[in-house]
Formats: sequence, C-alpha cells, structure tokens
Amino acid sequence: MNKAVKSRKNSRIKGIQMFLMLLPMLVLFFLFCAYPLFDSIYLSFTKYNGFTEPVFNGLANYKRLFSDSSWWRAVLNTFELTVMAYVIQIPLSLLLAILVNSKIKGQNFFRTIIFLPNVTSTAIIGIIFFFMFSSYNGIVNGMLQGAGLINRPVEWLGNVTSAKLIIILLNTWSQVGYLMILFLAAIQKIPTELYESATLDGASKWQQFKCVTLPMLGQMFQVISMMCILNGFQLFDSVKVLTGGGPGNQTSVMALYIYNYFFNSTGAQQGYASAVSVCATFITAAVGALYFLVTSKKFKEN
Amino acid sequence: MKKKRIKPGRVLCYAFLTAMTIFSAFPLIYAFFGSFKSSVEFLNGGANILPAQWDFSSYAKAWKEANFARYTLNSLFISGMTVVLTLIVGSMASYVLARTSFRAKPAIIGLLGLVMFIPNVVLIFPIFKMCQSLNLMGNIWSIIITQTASGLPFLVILMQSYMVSISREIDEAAEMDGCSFFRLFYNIMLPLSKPILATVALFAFKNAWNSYLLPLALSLSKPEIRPLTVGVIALKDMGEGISAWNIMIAGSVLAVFPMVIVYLFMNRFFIEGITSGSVKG
Repeated sequence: MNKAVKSRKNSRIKGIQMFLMLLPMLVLFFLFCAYPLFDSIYLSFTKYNGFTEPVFNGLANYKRLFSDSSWWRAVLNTFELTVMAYVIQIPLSLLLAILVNSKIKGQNFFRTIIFLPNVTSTAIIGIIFFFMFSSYNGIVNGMLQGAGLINRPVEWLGNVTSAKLIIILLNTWSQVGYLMILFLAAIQKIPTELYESATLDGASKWQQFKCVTLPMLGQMFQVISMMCILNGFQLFDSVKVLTGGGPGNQTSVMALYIYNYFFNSTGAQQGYASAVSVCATFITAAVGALYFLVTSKKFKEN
Repeated sequence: MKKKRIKPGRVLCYAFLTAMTIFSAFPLIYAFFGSFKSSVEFLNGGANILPAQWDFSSYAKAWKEANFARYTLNSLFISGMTVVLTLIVGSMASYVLARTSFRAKPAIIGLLGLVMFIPNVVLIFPIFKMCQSLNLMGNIWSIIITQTASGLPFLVILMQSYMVSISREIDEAAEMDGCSFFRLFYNIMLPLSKPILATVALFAFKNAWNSYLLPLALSLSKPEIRPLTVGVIALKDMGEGISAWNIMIAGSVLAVFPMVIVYLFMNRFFIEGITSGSVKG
C-alpha cells in the first residue's frame, strides 16, 4: 500500500469515528427537541384530545387563541413578573457582586451563603415558602403578630398582588446569588490598572463604577440580562407550587397555562395547547431577539 | 500612631451583606428545624424557629408511609444515570465540535444555542406522546433520557469551549505516532478535561435532582417512578391538606439538604464552573 492510499483510508476512518461520536447527541437532539417542536406545530392545526386521532381544523385554534382572555392574562403576568425580576435582580446582584469583590472580611462566607439558594430546587422551596407565608400558621405572620405589626393574619397567597410579590420574592431568592457570581466573574476580568489610573485621576467610587465597571461589563451585562429574561419567560415551578395560578387564574403564567391544557386530567385539549405553545415560543424568541438587537446597538454606540 | 476609624459606608456594607445572608439562609433553616417539630407544634405556627421538643416522627412517617424511601432511591438513580449519560454523550460530542471542522459544525453549534430559547413546557407533551408510542411511559429511563437531552445543549457548549482552549500540540504529536481519533479522545483529551468534566457532572446532577416539570409529566401515569421533588409536591396537590404538612416538610428537607451539603463541601467547583462557562461562552 502506498502512502497516499493509506492516508486516504485513515481520513475515512477518522470521518466515521467523528460521525459516530457525534451521533448520540444528534439523535437526542432530534428526538427530544426538533421532533417535539415540529410535532407541536403540526398539532396546533388540529383538534386533538390525546385519545382519538388528531383532526385537521385549520386555523381554528389560533382564532380561539386570539380571543382567549385568560391566555393573554397569563402572558401579561409573565411580562409583569419578568420585568419585576429584572428590575430587582439585576441591580441587586450587581451591587452584591461589587460589595463581595471589595476588601471586606468574610467575603468568601457571604459569597457562599448568598449563592446557596441556587443549588436548591425551586419547586421544593416553593413548598417551604408556602408554609412560611400560610395565613394561620405561617412563621411570617407569626413573627409579624409577635412584633405587634399586624393584628390579624395576612392572607399572603389569597390576594393577587401579594401572591405575585411572593412569587417575585421566591425567584429573587433563588436567582440573585447566581447572577451575583456571574457579575463577580465579569468584574474580576476587568484589569486593575484601569481602577488605579482612575484613582490617580481622583475619580470617586461612584465615578469609577459608572465610567470603568459598567462599560467594561458590556457584553457580560447583556448575557446576564438575557438569562434573567429567558428565566422569567420559563417561569413554572414557583407559580405552580405557590398559587397554582390562583386565585381564579389571576397569577397564572404562560408555562403553567400551557401545562394545564396539556395535562389536565379532565378535558385536556392538546390541539389547542399546541397552538398556545407555538405562540409562547414565538413570544419568547421575539422578546429575546428584540432585547439582543436593542442592547447590541447600544453597546456599539458606546 | 494612626487610629482606625470606622467608616459609615463600611458598616452599611456589612449590614447589607449580613441581611442578604440571613435572607438567603432563612428558608432553609426554617425548614430544617421545622421538620423536627411535632405535627401539632408545626401546625400551630407561631414565631419560633426552633422546635420546643425534638420530634423525629415526621421523618419516620415520610419514610415508611409516604413512600419517600422509594422517591429518594428514584432521585438518586435518575440523577446518577443522567450524569453518566451526559458525560458519555456530551464529552464525545464536545470533543468532535472542539477539534474538527466540517460543513455542518457552525449550524450544530448555532442550534445548541437556539434551543435555550424554547420553553421546556412546549416540548414536554410531544415527548410524553412519543414515550407512550414507544411503550416507555412509566419507565424511569424515560425521565433519565429526557433530562439528559434537555441539559445537553448548555453543557456541551461549556465542555466544547474548555476543550478548544487545550493546546493542540499534544494531539498533533500523538497523531504523528499513529494514534486514532477516538484513542486520542479517550487517552489524551478526557484526562486533560477532568476539571470541566467534574463541573459538568455536578451541574447535571444538580439539575436532575432539582428538576420538577419533566419528571412530573413523565411520572403522571406511574407514581412509583417519581423523584423526591414530584413526590413532595404531589402531597400538596392530593388534597390531604394540612394532615400531610409534617410529611411534606420532612420530605422537603430530604429533597433539599443533600444538595446543600454537597455544595457546602464543594462550592469551589460550583462557582468556578459557572464563571468559566459564562465568561467563555
């Protein structure tokens, strides 16, 4: 065998090995992501209850979707909770990252404990919050009453506004440490010389933050914000466990609404749920893309 | 001699960090001590965090009557197998994506990034249907495979970006010596990637252990394959109401504290894993 033939044979073997090594991931990707997505799109044009064969019914599901006020209520709630999460969590986690990064004692301890919630299950913590905020035997009411701040137990989860606040509180609890660590990593990448020269120029801490830290965060700020937004749109566990969408479907969010239509034991409507899913995917992708475009432009201007 | 002055800004900083630390730890501390209260004491509520009398009956009940022994085993099995599958499938794929170039590669990497935009809840019903037609419904492997598939895109990107940064010199030398593509991966790349593999294993375990939506949907027809998260929350939805509260709080502690303890011992890996992944990716 001459050299050329041998090397061609080798490269063919390499090609086969490459393909075989990539194959398992591709199979999983197609079976559990691409196929389900296309199946959802197909089902969204049918009337389907999970038992009998799906029947094509054109755009009927989409027409129904547009006049389904409780769906748009859930969409609105999702936006509301996402915006609130963003407004609270991004500044808070950035502030924490800066504080933890400064020369203080016990920074490792603070960092470790503030990140701790991120390793726990949001669904289970939902149960714990549910106990803490239950009206007659929850510890929050117990403490508030003990301190004489309230006379009667507050119905935290029975009222739409306070229920939403508790959902936000739970999400802030579980997210802030994670976002803090991401910001911390980005801050530590900023060269210290920049701060040194800023100090020499007599810049105050606030000026340093505004003129060095924020611009240098740039792309990372965008990535972290995007993550915060995408998490908001996937919101499910905390709402399902804390309120189940109640009272009266008024705290429902997109993912929970879809789940209930798919898996409700009485009267599931999978065709319609698929149309709602497709709509939710569009909304999520559109918001993600829009945010990305707007912020990219802004960063370029800077 | 200079006298140390206490700056008000510094005090404020400590006060704020301490408050956040208490906020972060409180629900866990509350749950931990609450699970040792007697059923009556827990239901009476009040402002006490510590139990008046230590009582272990909630755990005994959860373990024996509420099937939590089974759920704990399920959680361990699901999370363990997810880690194994993720490492095998993910490390091979990341290696190919890090070390070769072919026409479809940018498309594959792009798709992995895009997948993160698709809400999980959108995919779960078709997966549910697929498992039904493959007769996998009620099989614990349906949860394991779905969990692996849903975590892979992010973890593959994480591993790929680490492997790209490993020097190619060793590869080239080994290739000159006639080492095949797969042997190169197995004998050289894997040992060099140990740190990122450890991080990925930890992440995959954590995600599988804490996952709720996927195992909830896939164990609807068969409660015996439920992991802890689904088992605990099922008690809330079953309408047994207040009588099951002490079992639920004990179950919550069982579901949450293993991860907390692992984290407290290995927090380096968690935090470094996140930062290395995010900064490069």
